[in-house]
Amino acid sequence: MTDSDRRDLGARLEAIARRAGATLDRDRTLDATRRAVETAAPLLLVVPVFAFLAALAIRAGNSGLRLPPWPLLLVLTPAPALVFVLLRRFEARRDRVGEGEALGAVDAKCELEDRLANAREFIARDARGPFVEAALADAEGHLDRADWVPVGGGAAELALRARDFGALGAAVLLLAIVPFVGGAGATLADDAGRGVVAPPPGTVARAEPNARAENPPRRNDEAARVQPETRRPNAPNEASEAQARRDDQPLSDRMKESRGETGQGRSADASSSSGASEARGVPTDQAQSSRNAKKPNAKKKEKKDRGRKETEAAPRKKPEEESGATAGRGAASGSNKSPAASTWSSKDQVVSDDEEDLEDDEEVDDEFDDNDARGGMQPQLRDRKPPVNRDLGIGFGNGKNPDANGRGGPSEQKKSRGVASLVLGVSIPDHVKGRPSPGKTKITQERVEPREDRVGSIDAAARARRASSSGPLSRPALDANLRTLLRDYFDARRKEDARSENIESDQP
Amino acid sequence: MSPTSPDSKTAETQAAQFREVHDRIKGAVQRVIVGQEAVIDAALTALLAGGHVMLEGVPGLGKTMLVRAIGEAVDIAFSRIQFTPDMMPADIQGTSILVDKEGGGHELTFQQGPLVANLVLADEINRATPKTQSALLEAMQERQISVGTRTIALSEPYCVMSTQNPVEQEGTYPLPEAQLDRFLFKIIVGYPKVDEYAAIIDRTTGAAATKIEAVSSGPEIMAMREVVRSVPVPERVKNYAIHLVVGTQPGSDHAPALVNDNVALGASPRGAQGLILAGKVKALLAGRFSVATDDIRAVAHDVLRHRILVNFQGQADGVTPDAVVDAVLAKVKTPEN
Repeated sequence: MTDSDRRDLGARLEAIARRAGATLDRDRTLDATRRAVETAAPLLLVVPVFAFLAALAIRAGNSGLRLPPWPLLLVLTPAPALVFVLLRRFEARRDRVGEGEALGAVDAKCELEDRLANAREFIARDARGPFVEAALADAEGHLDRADWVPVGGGAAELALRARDFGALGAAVLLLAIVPFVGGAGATLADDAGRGVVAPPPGTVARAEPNARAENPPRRNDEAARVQPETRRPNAPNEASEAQARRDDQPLSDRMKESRGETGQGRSADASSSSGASEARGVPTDQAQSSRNAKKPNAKKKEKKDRGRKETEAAPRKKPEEESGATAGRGAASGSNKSPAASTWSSKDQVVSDDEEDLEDDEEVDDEFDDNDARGGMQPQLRDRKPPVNRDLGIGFGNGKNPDANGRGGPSEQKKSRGVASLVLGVSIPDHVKGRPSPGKTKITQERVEPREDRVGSIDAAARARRASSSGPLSRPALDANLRTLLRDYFDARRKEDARSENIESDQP
Repeated sequence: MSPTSPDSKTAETQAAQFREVHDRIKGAVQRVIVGQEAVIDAALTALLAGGHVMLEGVPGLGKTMLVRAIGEAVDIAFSRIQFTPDMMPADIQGTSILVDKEGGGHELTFQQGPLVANLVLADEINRATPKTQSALLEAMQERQISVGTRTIALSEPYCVMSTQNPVEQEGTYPLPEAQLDRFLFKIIVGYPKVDEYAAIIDRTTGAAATKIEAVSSGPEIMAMREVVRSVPVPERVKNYAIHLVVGTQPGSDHAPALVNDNVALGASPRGAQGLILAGKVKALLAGRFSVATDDIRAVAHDVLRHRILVNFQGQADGVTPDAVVDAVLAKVKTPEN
């Protein structure tokens, strides 16, 4: 194959690759878009869910939140899904199909087993050789078929599942109920003139007294409701009215708890002594004013009712009172004094003497009333001594409690109770049972250089007769016959020795 | 279309001759072996590519007969070694023995073992001890045998075809990885199809014994091996084979999760060599003049399965080397240039 033939073949292969690549690019983009659409359905729920949660928070009293207008929510709902789809589409368009891949797709479509792709590479590399030439010629023979073969199977049909429709329906449903879940005030405030959504009944009932009394715009009423607590003492009338309204309305447990947690609840009910001190005086005044307004008319009856209610609620309230949380809740009636407050805690509280007297009188009356109601037969639950107040949060004014010793009372040292306070002060050593041996034995090996130990050897041949006296020797006591026998033996030996010496000296 | 160049004509002729030789040998073998076409193709592919083959299958499937048939179909020196546990390396390599001299007296003479041949059937290779199995290492890789101070160069074509039984593992010695890696193919021999049983019975239980004539020769096999090595390999196919091999190695970029979790040892560069060589044979047999990725995929199992060592967790989970190869094939895409 000549060079011009190679160039022609390369050009044809490039044209085929370009055509196939464009088709594959389009298919790939469409496929990516389809897959993105199929997976983007849950994203439709993002905005409605957030709007719903915000509406719940607004309904629960979090007045710092505001919902956007309902039409804007409607417009924003598909936005995350659209962004997701567009991003996927952009990514798919960015990854272009290369020539090799395109020719590989043509090969696969025509069942050419990489003939075209290999030929393109051989031409690009300018590879030579018999088998390369044969491969190029082989590829050239299949070009006609590759020219017209449609590449790419086209984008698959969009397959939306029930889950996707469910997400869409849930999004619509959430959007529809958002205005009715507490956020209606905000939504309606924005859309007051447009009348988009009807306000929920509760909100209207709450707003009516203000509207009748002062007839301000509703937005102002809402703004007053979300004022921070530091501004509350400046408007005692509003506070007392709000208190009265809350007393009239049945509140859910959730609302009661949130009143104790949020800044609004704390300012209105004056609960925690560890909170801001400026809020403490206000509830007392509020409670006193409201109580003074009620007492002259129906004090006695109210006392009875209250006593009965308290007796019924005593078992339920007892654990709460024993916990530190009751310090704040107990003062919800207007007093900061906890029923279980001890001497130091009463010192801590800022309470007027008049109020204390009133409370004491009421409690005494209640006790007599309760005894009458039960016929004096049942034990008086309220006779029990108040438990030791272990409210660690209660300080001694702004200063330290002089009685603080860190043992059960208001402590400067111990900041937690529960399991940690039950741990014994004396540590108990752990023992591992069932071990017969004392444990691991540590064996230390030391490397010691061997020392030479010299022992004087005794040469038996060098031994000679004793040169000097051996000193006194102990003589064992022998029998007379044995002594005679030994003497005779040694005398005989001496005689023999003397004889042998004489013989040796006689020999030349 | 441009006129066919002389070079191209030469290549086409060589390729046609290659297919013709292959078909001749295959036809001769198929006179004895019924069915098992894929096994015959794989064994001949390894023979023509210059590699060694391990046949694994339960007893009675014709593994030994297949190798013997190839040895008869190709006119080359054929030897058979029945591996036993008490066999020693000297039994297969050869050793020096004392022989009587004509003029009287004795002398040491080297008696070469059965390893010195062109086609060696190592029957039930896993029954020999690793010491004896290791005697094959040098012969398979370097085509020579060293005994004492003597080195014997083995004549080409040289091919070891071994068989082993996947069951009856008692009293056997699994081949070490170094030994396994030297085999180009590990072919799994399966049961014949139902309609093949009748032909098997007729051929093996009749009065007339089937005789195979030699249809090829050693030099012809060597010529075909030269043709195989002439087939060009595009870079993308080469990269694909490399990625496949690397994909079997745990912790590599191309390894799928199955490999990372269940493989202790992946294929070596010898695996990539095997893929390319076997792919070339496949391309020639398919009538093409260059290797395609399909050729690599077609031989991937036979080339890679014995080079993958499944770890303890994989064995406990029942992960087989073939499943690992499947996972690698699914993960590795054809690289684009």
